[in-house]
Amino acid sequence: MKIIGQEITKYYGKNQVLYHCNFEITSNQPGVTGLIGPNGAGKSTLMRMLGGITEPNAGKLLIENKSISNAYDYSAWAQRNSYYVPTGERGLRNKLSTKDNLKYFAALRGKFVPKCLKLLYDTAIDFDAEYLIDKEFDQMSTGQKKKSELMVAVAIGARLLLLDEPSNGLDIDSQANLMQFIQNISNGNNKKVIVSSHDPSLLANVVSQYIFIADGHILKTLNKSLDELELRQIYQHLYNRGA
Amino acid sequence: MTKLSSILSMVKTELEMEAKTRYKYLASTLSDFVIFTLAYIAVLFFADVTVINQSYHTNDGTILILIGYMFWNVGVVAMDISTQTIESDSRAGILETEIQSRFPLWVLIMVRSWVTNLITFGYLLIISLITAIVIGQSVLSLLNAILLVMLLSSVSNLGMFGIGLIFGAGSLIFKSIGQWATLLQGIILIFANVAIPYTTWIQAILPFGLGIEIARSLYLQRDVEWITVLVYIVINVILLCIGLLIFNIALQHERKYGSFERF
Repeated sequence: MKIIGQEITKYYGKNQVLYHCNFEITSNQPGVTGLIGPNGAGKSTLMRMLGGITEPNAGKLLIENKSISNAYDYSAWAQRNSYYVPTGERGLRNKLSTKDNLKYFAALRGKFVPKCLKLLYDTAIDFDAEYLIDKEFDQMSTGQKKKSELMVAVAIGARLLLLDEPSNGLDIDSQANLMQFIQNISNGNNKKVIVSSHDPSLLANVVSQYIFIADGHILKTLNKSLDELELRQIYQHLYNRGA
Repeated sequence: MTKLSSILSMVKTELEMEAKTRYKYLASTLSDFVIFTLAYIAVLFFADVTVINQSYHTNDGTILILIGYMFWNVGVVAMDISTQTIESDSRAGILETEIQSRFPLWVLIMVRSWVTNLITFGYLLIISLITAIVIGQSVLSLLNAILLVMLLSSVSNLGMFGIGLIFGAGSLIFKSIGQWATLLQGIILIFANVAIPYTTWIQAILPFGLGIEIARSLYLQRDVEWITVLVYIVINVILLCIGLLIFNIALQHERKYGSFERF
């Protein structure tokens, strides 16, 4: 199964923010896809479209399913199967615990809440994060908030997790810890994760597919893992700046 | 899960989460309750009932004004909920996840409006029981009035919700317009038959105008014409449909030309 973007164009009002973007992301295999580029490149715009939250003004987003030889409209699929985690310390209801947030968002998606709660406990045990289950969202650190959101997304049964600049506000140790958590979530739960970031060191070694974007254009796509040095070199070459 | 059981699950969960949130924001919840109580007491003790008593040929003017006040109060809740949900949930970064819900956004907002109104009626019951005991008013007559309002306002709240959706549409496009809704609510309070008698058909086109008259007539055990009930329902269904139409157009516009994040 593939997510295919064809000539995607997006405007905010009269301002064009994406220009004829083409890409392919394999969505039925676990792994992390990195959407990388400087601030204002169009990463968040693309992430929101991948979540079925917004729509392109021109071009097509499709989900291609080879087993049924069919390509169909992406938006409805994304609303059922993806979960978007916004940047910053936002994304769940304050004053509610991870468990209560899960109950709320599971109900919104028409999921069977007890089943989702069981998945939450299993995920928390697997990833050593049981202490977050009953902790209120606004009492968590930035890194814990991201983990809590990821646990909710997994427990809800989302197949595609979209993390918009998850490392913002995290120190270096917390960034590494979060990325390890993201990779484990992806591999351990058979999830596709797409992470956007302007920081090449964050995405090195963790990501198996890179999409480089700048000024609303997709500059390059690489379907392999890169170490930090390789990634920095490519970043510097593409954006003509030190990373 | 069927759609109906999913909606019931949403109502139950929203009620649980709203109760938990209010408990955790205890100081704010208590201040809301105090303001609510003060407004209630002001209506009960200081409203000029002479005109109402003369107009309705009764001595129950206080209760009739209270009926008007309760209609207005629950209507305001139904009207405010759209802008509140969009503006606060966008700031909290959960609007996107709510858009990814199985249900249209307006259904979620409507569920919230029901839950908030249920809590408001809980407030009213508590205050009424205390008031009745303190001032020696009949508990039954107050309960009767509250139950009438609870039942009949379910229709006018659809209309108020529809008007709220128009403001919600404004919030989606223009980002922060909650203060305009407050201004309209103030204007409605002055001209509507909340604390004054029903005198002109213009009051009837307000969502709760005829609802108040029906509730007052039933409270006074007088006949209600079926055409009044019909017009009351039609007006509110029309307002709801207009609200839904405008809100869905704005939502589609934001999906196409916006990002839901510039709050």
